Amino acid sequence: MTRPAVSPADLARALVALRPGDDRTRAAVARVLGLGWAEPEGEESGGRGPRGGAGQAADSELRRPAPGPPRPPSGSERDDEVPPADEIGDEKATDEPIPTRLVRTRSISRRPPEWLEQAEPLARPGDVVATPPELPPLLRPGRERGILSVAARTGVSEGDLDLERVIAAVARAEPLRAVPRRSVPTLARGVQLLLDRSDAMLPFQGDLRHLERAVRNFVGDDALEILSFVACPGRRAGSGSIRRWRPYFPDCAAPRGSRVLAVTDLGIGMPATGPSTAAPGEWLEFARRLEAAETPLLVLTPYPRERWPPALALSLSILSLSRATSAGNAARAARDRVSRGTP
Amino acid sequence: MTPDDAPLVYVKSFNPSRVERRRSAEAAETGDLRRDPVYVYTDPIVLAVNVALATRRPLLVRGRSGAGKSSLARSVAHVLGWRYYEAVVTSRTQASDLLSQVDLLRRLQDAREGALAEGMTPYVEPGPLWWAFAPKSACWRGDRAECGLETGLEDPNQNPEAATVEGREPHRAVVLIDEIDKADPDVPNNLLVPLGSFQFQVAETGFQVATTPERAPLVLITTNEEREMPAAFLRRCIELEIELPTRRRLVEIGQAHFPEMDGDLLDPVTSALLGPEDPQREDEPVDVNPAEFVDTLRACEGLGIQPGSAEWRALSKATVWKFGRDEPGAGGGRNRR
Repeated sequence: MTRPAVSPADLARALVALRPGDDRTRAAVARVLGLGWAEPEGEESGGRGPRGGAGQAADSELRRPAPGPPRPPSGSERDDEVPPADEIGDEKATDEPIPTRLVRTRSISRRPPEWLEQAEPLARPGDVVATPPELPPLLRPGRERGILSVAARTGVSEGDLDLERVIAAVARAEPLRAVPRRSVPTLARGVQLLLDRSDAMLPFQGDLRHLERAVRNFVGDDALEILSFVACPGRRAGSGSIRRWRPYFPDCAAPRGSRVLAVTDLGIGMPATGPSTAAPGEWLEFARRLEAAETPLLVLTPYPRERWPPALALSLSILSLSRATSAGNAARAARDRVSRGTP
Repeated sequence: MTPDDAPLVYVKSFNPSRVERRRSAEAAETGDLRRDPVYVYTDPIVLAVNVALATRRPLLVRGRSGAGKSSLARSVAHVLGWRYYEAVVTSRTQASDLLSQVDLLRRLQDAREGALAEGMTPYVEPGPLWWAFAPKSACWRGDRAECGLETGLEDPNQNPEAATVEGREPHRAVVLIDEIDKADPDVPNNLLVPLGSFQFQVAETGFQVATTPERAPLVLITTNEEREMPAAFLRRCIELEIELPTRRRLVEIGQAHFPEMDGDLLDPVTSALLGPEDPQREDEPVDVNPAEFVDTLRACEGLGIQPGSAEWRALSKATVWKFGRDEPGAGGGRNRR
């Protein structure tokens, strides 16, 4: 059972335990909890306004001293401006106003009101709209982090002891030359994100930027390398100007054990032939070399399974970027590689 | 004093001195900073710790490297007189590392040597949260009768970090989970149940580790923000950001660490790192973190290096190059954010 998120209940606990002496301190406590602070309507700061019986009962409940952690012994340098709990008189305590209206600033700051989402800002005369509006992300926002983190992991043999393999070896009286451990998924080996910059991916440039940000958020800068390519990364890849791109093997190869995520349309949006189109065989060769280097490839494509080139659908680990995609889909796509007998 | 500068008025269950000084000269001499840490507190830090204690929520401490996030946990444990445990997270850390693990390799070895103990209990290794929740059961790996270990751990105060436990409150603890952003994204979420309910089960033995809310540990979690934390985790934490220090605060921190140091060394080192003193900018944030400042003072004092000497110029240039800052003393010590 997980504990609920920080809520006004936590403010109530904090107010009882800390017994703040003024509204400024109460507001500071609320801010630490991520809650806003508003004066109750019709009441002045620090004053006692009319309240109903229920409110008074709640107040007296709030003011009851609660057992708290032991206080450290007082020293010569202690902050003596605040008297210890047992020296604060009852009268002073009961004079303290208790807030009757709490406002969550977190939710306010993160979620604009509905009317604002639907409102279209008026264009100022002469204004030129330089950037297109942000499109909704391909993956469902609530699932995105989970899907991408599952997709980006690789397995490392650093888990619990693999008892089945140990028992099998012991039963055959074979010496254990290495400790067999279960595979655990991790991002520790890093991620290489390959972004397809071909013309067919132009409609998805905003999605590429969004994916880049999303992956960076949970992988971290140190463990993430982002490269661009056209058609197939096996040709050339790199960052910055296309003139500085270099052959993927060996110049851009990812460190052993890291995950390679390629965001591409697999040539679906391009003519079947041409310099900007990679034949399925080219992708398969690229995937084979990555597997040999123990840097497993997972292709993320904005097109549904029905449109994937049949030769690739059967042989590559592919995940569709759509609202219907789940973390389970990502896990299965990543596992497909294992089921085909690759390392 | 303006109304905004006035001290906050509340009952502090955690009420440190503004400057918590080292009380043991031995600790300073041996470099043991864990047992007797120096810390210069601010009102927001004290308030956040008090709110975390009152609400029994984990305190997520943000801030740059060297800002004093980890040492805060040690200092809080010292001030409260509570036991102290820490776990430094790495990219390979799993939530179970903080709860309990089973030493299957040792069990395998015992099996091959015909010395296999009955059950899994003797092979259980308690993690820092187990020690913090229930030190007595951690001593016995859960079940005293089943443990059968001659561990000498009958004293419930005993634990892997005995040096920070001696003479402290046996039922309360401060736990530092350091640099949680280094861990895989699942790790924070996997800690939600143990940190929220103050209990967890040892999967291999079924033993339930639990503590009461009254004995709940204070858990401080630090992040350098290399990765974004899961929203579900953030919603359950009290957050504290340790901001960049001002020149005034840095000097105060230096004086707290080296009360015997005179101005002949402290002032030139400060000027060398931060540039000439400017009263009008004394309260602006600076781009030198406290750990770096204190370490520089310690090195200069210990090695007899005076600012302005050839050694000092070489040291300062190395530091400047490392962090991509301008040369100290050339007005480059200011934070240029």
